[in-house]
This record gives sequence, C-alpha cells and structure tokens, in this order.
Amino acid sequence: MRSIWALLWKDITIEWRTREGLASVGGFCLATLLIFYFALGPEPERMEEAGPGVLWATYVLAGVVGAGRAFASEERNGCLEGLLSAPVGRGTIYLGKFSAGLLRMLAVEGFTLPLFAVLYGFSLQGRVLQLSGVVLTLGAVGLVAVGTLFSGLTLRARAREALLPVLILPIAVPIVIGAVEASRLVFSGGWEEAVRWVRLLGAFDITFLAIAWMVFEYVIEE
Amino acid sequence: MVEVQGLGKRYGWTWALRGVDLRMDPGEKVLVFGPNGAGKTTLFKLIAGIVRPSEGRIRIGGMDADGNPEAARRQVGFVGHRPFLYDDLTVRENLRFYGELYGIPKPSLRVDALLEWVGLRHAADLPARALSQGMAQRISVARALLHDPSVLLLDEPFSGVDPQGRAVLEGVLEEEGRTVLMATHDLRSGVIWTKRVLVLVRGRPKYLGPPPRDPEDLWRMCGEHR
Repeated sequence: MRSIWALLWKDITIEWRTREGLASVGGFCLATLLIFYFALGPEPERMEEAGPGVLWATYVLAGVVGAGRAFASEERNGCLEGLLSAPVGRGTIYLGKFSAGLLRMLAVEGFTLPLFAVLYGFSLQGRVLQLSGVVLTLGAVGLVAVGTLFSGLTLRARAREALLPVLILPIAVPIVIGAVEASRLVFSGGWEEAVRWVRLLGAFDITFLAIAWMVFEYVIEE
Repeated sequence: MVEVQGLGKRYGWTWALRGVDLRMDPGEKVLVFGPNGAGKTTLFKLIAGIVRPSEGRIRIGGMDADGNPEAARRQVGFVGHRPFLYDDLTVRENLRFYGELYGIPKPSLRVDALLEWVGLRHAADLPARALSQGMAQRISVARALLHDPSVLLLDEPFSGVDPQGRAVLEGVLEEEGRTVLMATHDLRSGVIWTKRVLVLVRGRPKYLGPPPRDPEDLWRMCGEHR
C-alpha cells in the first residue's frame, strides 16, 4: 500500500508541476465536445438523443490520449528501470499507475461534464448529478484499467501512438456500451433501469482490473 | 552472495547473453569487462531484476530471484547508465520516492545523510533536470545505496563522473562487506578494486579469473588490440 501511495504521490506531483496530462486530455475533451456540438446543430431533440453517445465517445478517445501519457514520466532518464529494480510487485506498479490515471480522468470528467450539460441541454440536478457521478466514475475505472495495461504493453513499441487506439478501443466496447446506456437512462429519468447497466459496468471494471493486475508482470518486463 | 547459473537472455532470435556462471562470495568485488554489445548491461539488468532471464537462474543472498523476486531486488542496488531520476521532482523528492518504494523507515533522515555524504546537500531542493551529469551520477549512487544493499551493481560508474563523484565511488569500493559487480572501460580503476574479472564477448563468457598483470591484456582477450 505504501508503494502505491508513493507512486500516486509521484505522478500527482509531476502532473501538478507540468500539467502536461491534464492539458492534453482536458484540451482534447473540450475540442471534441465543441466539434460534436457544432456538427449536430442546435435542435434540442437531436442533442438529447446523441448527447450520451457524444459524451462517451469523447471520454473513450480522451482515455486513449491519457493512456499514451500513463508512463510518460518513466520514459525519461531510465526511470522505468529504476521502478522495475525496486522491490515492488509489478501489480503494485500497475495499481499506482492506474490510480494516477483514474484521478486525472475524473478531474477531466469533473470539469467537462458541466460544459457538456450546458452545451447539450441536460440538467444535472439532484439525483441525475449523483447517478451521473457514479456512471462517470465506473466508466473511467474501466477505461483507465484497460488504458494503463496497454500503455505498459506498448511502452517499447515503435508505432506506439498508432497501436494504442487499435488495442484499447475494441476491448473498451463493453464499457462504452454500458456507460452510454446508463448515461442515457440517467439523463432521461429511467433510474431503476440504469441501475442494471451500472451493475454491469461495475462487473466489467472488476474483471478488467483483476485481469490487468494479474498480467501486468508479463506486460511490463522484457 | 550472488550465484548465477547458466544465465541467458534472448531478445527475439538473438541471444544477448548466454551461458554465464558466476559465484560471488559476500564482500567480493568482480569486474565485468567486454567491448560494447558484449552483454554486460544485460547481465546487470538480469541480476537487478529489471529483465527476466530466458534461461538459467539467479540466487541473491541464498534466495532464488525467480521465486522471491521482491526479496531478491531488495538486496540489490543498481547504478546504471542513466540516473533513474524524475526531471520534475527535486533531488530530495526523488530519493524520498525511492526510499518509500524500498520501505525505508524514516526515509528523510537517510536521504539527508546520503546527500551530505555525496556532497550535494545544497542541491537537495533543485529539480533533477537542473543537475549536471556529474551531480546526477552522484545522486544515482546515493539512490542505489538508500536501502543499504548487500549487493551493488555498478554499470560504467566512472563515465561522466566529476572528481567529487570519483571520490564517492572510490569510497564505496573501499568499503568492506558489500558484494560489488562493476563494469567499466576504465581498466586501471576496475582492476585496482577487484580481485576477479569476468570477460564477456558477444554475450558469451570468455574468461573468469584474476585480473591479468597488464590490464590491457583484457582487450586482447576480447580480440581487440589497443
């Protein structure tokens, strides 16, 4: 646990000083939301219909951008070797990296969700806000779990930037479907039905996290 | 004690290292010598637990590195070609971070003591990116010694080192009790501090024994004349 905290503290400190990850992922989200806003036009019905899909398309692509940055600090000065030579389990390294990625993703979701609500005409009051928070968190957990794993896998690959979306997007499909459906139901007031999708999202998250934690050792070592 | 048996590492179809047997007694210092691409760094990375062997086994302090990887890594300190320092953390933060990973109790005290010892207490709050190569090398030595390892791996420790750094390294090599495996092309320094030499050529061990009277003979063993 001490090692996970140390890894998390290190990544947060570096992120706070450089703001490289937040700027790239956050900037990407803002741009995508605005592009879809202008592409879909001003009709409220169309916005309402497409809104949840747009939101999650944005977050999935932002997750890919974020995954590309997951090990950015380890790529300089041989820091990955320093990390691998420390007496910490590879699964611990994964959990430390996952935690940092999750915090970044949640921060980005935290400031883009209100903008999304304003642009696309959704209300975020009362129970909608609470349930949206749950869906966004579960969706982020799944996306970051998959993203961190594949970021480690492609760390030494030549065409890394091209490989990451090819690897992450197909695996993330169940998370996206669950998150889009849950968000659609939350925004339209179908809360009871949304709970089923939320449970499914939770089950995907646990499965992805457990698998990634177990196989990370084979992914990160040469 | 470090014991390596039939150690090999393959990348794709190419063997970077193969058939290495080495047994180091506690406190023994061994020089690893070979031309570039001989497999020296691969050997260090294998013993440091950074890469996984393709064949053979490593025992550190009587513990099998495959069966107890974390316990084995805890006994090893590694000074590599690069300093393993995060540019955006200060020197003190970098060392504290590694101290936490190694589970050192009260890492701040240990960090301050080591910074004092390598003569860089004044640089503690500088970001690592502001360090000169020589300073970074001294911090790298401090990082490797944070957890007081019984085995120290020094991969080209004298390259880019400043006079103070050389004195620090010599201090480390003078210490009794620590098992040291060192690779260097600085033959005079290498031979002074070690009792045995392992010569590697194209990933294969070519010689293991006492250093020759004329250190330049090591180059001849590698088939190179200087």
